[in-house]
Parts: sequence; C-alpha cells; structure tokens
Amino acid sequence: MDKVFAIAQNTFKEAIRNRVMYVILVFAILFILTGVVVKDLTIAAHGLVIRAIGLWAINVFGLILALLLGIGLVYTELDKKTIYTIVSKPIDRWQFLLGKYLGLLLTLYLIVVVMSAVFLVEIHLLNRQIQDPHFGLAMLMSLKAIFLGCVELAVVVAFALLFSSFSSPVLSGFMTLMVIVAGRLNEDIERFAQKIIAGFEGGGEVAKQGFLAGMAFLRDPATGATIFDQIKFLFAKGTALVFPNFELFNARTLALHFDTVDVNILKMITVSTSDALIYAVPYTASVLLLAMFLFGRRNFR
Amino acid sequence: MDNVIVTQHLSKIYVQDFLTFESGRPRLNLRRETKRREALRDLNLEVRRGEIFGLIGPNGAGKTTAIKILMGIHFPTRGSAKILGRPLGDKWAKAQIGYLPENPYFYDYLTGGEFLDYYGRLYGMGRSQRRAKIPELLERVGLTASVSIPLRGYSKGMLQRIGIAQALLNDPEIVVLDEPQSGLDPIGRKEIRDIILSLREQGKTVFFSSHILQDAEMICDRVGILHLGDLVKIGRLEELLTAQVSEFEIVASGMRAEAIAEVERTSKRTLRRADDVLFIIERRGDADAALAKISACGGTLLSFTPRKETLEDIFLKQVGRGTREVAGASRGEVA
Repeated sequence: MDKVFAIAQNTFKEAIRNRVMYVILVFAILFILTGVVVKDLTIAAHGLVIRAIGLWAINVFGLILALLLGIGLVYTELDKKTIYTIVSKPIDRWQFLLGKYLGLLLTLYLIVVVMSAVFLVEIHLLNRQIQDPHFGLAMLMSLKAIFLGCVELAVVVAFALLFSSFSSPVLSGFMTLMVIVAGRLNEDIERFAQKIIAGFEGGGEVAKQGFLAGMAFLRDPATGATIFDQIKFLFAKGTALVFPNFELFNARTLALHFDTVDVNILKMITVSTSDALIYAVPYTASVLLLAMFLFGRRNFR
Repeated sequence: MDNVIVTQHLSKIYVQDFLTFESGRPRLNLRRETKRREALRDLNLEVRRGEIFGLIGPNGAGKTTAIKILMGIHFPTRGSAKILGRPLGDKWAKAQIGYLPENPYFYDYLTGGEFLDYYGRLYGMGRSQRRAKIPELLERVGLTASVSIPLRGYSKGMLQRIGIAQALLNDPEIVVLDEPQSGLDPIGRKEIRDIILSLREQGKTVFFSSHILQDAEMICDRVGILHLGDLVKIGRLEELLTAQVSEFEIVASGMRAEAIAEVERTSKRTLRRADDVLFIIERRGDADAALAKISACGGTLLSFTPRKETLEDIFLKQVGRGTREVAGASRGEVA
C-alpha cells in the first residue's frame, strides 16, 4: 500500500504546486465573502443568503477544480511519458490509478476544508450581529451539506479518472461535465421516464416499478405504445440508471430552509447521509474498477 | 553463462487510427494493409548475464517497441518473453530491472532528491534504505550539488543522468537503456559510456538500444541489428567484425595526372583536394601496385591505412543503401 500512498502523495504535490489551483481558490474565497455584501439586499434573511452563497461556492468551485485537475490526471502522465518509468517499476497498474485517485481526492478535500473554514468563520461573525436562534443547527446542516458535497466529489473524480484513462483532456472534461449534468438532472430524467409509462392506460402503477417492468409494459401491443415511446423510455430510464443521482448528495436545500419550511416539505428535502454513502461507495468502486480494467489493457504510446 | 532476457517470436502490430497526418497531409487508413503497422516481427533473442547487449537499427526499426514490450509498457501481439526466467509483467522480475526510456521526461515540479525518493518508494525501498542509497547515486552521476533544484531547471544531460540514477536505485541485475546517448554532446556521451562500462564491471547486464554506431561498437559485447521490425543480424562483435582488412586508404601528393588516372582504374573511390589524392582500394595486389606507381612517378606517399570492417559497414550492408537513415549512418548517426 506504500506504493499507492507514494503515488497519491506525488499527485498531491503536483496539484499544490500548480498555480492555477491557487488562483481558483482565491477566487472561490472572494466569492464566499461576497455574501457579506449581498446579504444587505434582503431585509431579514441575512443568514440564509450567506449560507446559500457559501455552500453554492464550496460545491461549484470544488467541482470546477475536480474537473480541471481530474481530466488531465492520467493524460499528463501519458503525454509526458512519465508513465513509462512508473509501469516498469514493480507496481500494478491498478495501484497507479488508485494512487492518482486518492491523491486528487486528498487535494480537493484540503481545498474544501480551506473554503469551509472561511465560510464557517464568516457565518460565525455574522451571527454575532444577528443572534440567530437556529445558528447551531444551521452550522450542523451546513457541515452535513459540505460533507455530502465531498462524497459527490469522490464520485465525480472517479468519472474524471475513468475518462482521463482513455481519452484526451478536452474529451474527458466534456464527458465528466455531461456526467455532472446528467447526475444533477437524474431525478427529473427518472420522472420523465415514469411520465412516459403513466401516459398510457394502466401505466400509473407500472411507472413506479423498474426498468424491465416498464419495457414489458410498453412492448405489450394492448397499450398502444409505439416504438418511439419505447426508445424514449429506454433512453430516459437507461440514463437515470447508469448515471449517478447527485440529488442524493444535495443537502444544501435543507441547510438553507430547515427553519422556514413545514414538516412535509422538510421530509421531502431531507437526504440521508447513510443512504448517500451506501449509494456512493459501491458506485465509485464500480467506476474505478472499470477505469482499472481499461487502463490495465492499454498500450502507452 | 545463463540468459537473463529471452524473447520468442515477439511481434507487435499497431492498429493505426483511421485518420493520420503525414507531413501535415491527412491520410485515411481504411484498408487492412494501411491500418495495421507491423513494428516488430518474430524477435528471437537472448541476452546473457553480465554482458552489454546493443540493439541497433535506424529509426522505426522496432528497437523502442521491443524495449517497451519487455518493460510492460506495451503488450505483444504475438510471442512471449522471459526476464530472469519470469514472464513479462512479473513484479519480482521488474524489481530486478532498472529502465531509462528514450528522451526521458520526469516530474519537473520535483527536486532531484524528491524525485529519487518517490521512485525509491515505488521500488518498495524503506526510508533508511533510500536515505543511504540516494546520496550515493547522486554522487555517482555527479548531481550532488543539484539535489534541491527542481527538475525543470535541469539541462538535458543532467536529466539523462538523474534518469540513470533512478534506473540504478534498486541496485538492478539488468539495466535497460533506450537510446541513452541520444541528443547528448560528446562529453555527455562519454559519461554515459563510462557508466555503462562500470555497470558491466559490477556484473550487471546492460541491454541498450542505440543508433550511434561508434559508441555501440566501443562498449558492446554482442549486438543485434533490427531493420523494419526484423532482427537481421545478431552475434558477438568480434564474430560480426571480421579481422580481415576490407579496404586500403592511400593518400599521396605530387602525382602526375596520367599516374593518377592509372591508379584510379583499380580504385573504388578517388578524392582530390589541391595536390593531394585519396585512393580507396579493395584488393591487396592493387594497393601494392598503386604504392609502386606513386613512387615511380615521383609522388610522395602521405599515408597508407588498411581499414578493417566496422559495425557501421555491417549495419550498412544489412539495412541497405539509399535510405535517409543510411545517409546519416555514414556520419556516425543513423537519422
């Protein structure tokens, strides 16, 4: 395992000696601090505005850095041929990929910690002025949102690594971005798939069932579904199944509105940390295993 | 003497992209013949323990492909190879090898010391082992003073030397060097040559590729000549280089025109510069006659040199004349 940590440590060194990262980090911190000014645009929701801007910035800038650093993660080693001297050493290719993954994740988590520290100090200082009775809960909810954002980053970096292991940075950047978009819209895509089924007579119950039940329903001539309906359902349901559901990691809505919404809405916007982890760990492992499988069979030009 | 590297029918076919660019012009590779490029064909060779083996050949001969397959960077299309009796990719065997790729590029944000420490960890060396070995190696390659400088500040020669240092970190049994002297000045080439020779003195096996024939001839025990993916010749240098004189070089001055014309008839090549004439004559009898003629016509013999066959001559015979690479070979380097 020391070899994996050596690669992770080197990846971390490479990232923290990259000046672009610091420019983005400074920009992110300035963005978080704009909440201090922007809050005055509202009358009473100062805490909410600062939390909204801070949590959004931590999430988005984390993803931007994951994209920027992740897409060239393996490609740079191939392009500069440093991979030649690595794979000729007594290590397995999967160890190299795992090291790169852990190194980048470590870098991103360090950045998230820095951004979060600025954010927490900011809301703490604000609370001295406004004395929010729910401040303690708001802190906890914000920390949960940041933690689940980190889990989301683990999934995104796995995809960036997968694409980076067989394509150019531009292409892998585009594909990773598509995964982020599809992941954010996952629940909408799922609802769209359900709506296709529900549009037919007797489809209401089937809509809530799985992919195979839905396809069997649409293929039944009695429903009157066309081949076009089947393709639409196949595409929508397939996308929702294959791509990650990033809404499971979105605790930001709850962190913003937990003290203003009624109990029913609260239930809807609450996400479970354990559910998110149970979903993310095997999902990330599968993506990494696929990356290792493809990388293990590559000829490095 | 046992074999440390054995290859059997090692072959590599690259499948090219359907669109490639040659000299800036797009080329479609749709037909089977243009889509597939055979870089290495049925390579059968053995490298013996403790020897310096040189794989020579022009650019595109398949030298780097062969080394990349042995180092686990590429997978062979056909055939197999064993290193120290283990199949390709075996981690124990990899731990006994030091490898320097062609035109190496290392992590330029690391200092020389950090770089070697990182690679030491990849070899599985402990902290104390690394602390003892790294200063010793830096001294050996003459980079002790540059230990704290990031690699981006290193010259090409320094990078080559730090590359050699990383290849020797694990005290390897086999050292594989891909074009180690490429792009270096004469001093750099000599330094690399000295390091290779000192490795042999320590009982290491050195397997290297080169297109610099004089250097290969100076240090190799055995050579293999690759051309267009085929191993066209392999053997000990003294077996390949016959002791026989292949031609005689005669330089004379003050010869009359008719005497020059007479000697020129038996000469393979004649060059004139001012009053001096150079004759290259293949047969001993013709050379003796030419010497007599120079004396008889009142000319002065400036030099008489019997030339033995060189690695370059063998190389040119094997790869054929008239190619761009061969033009380079006559200058000592092949393209």
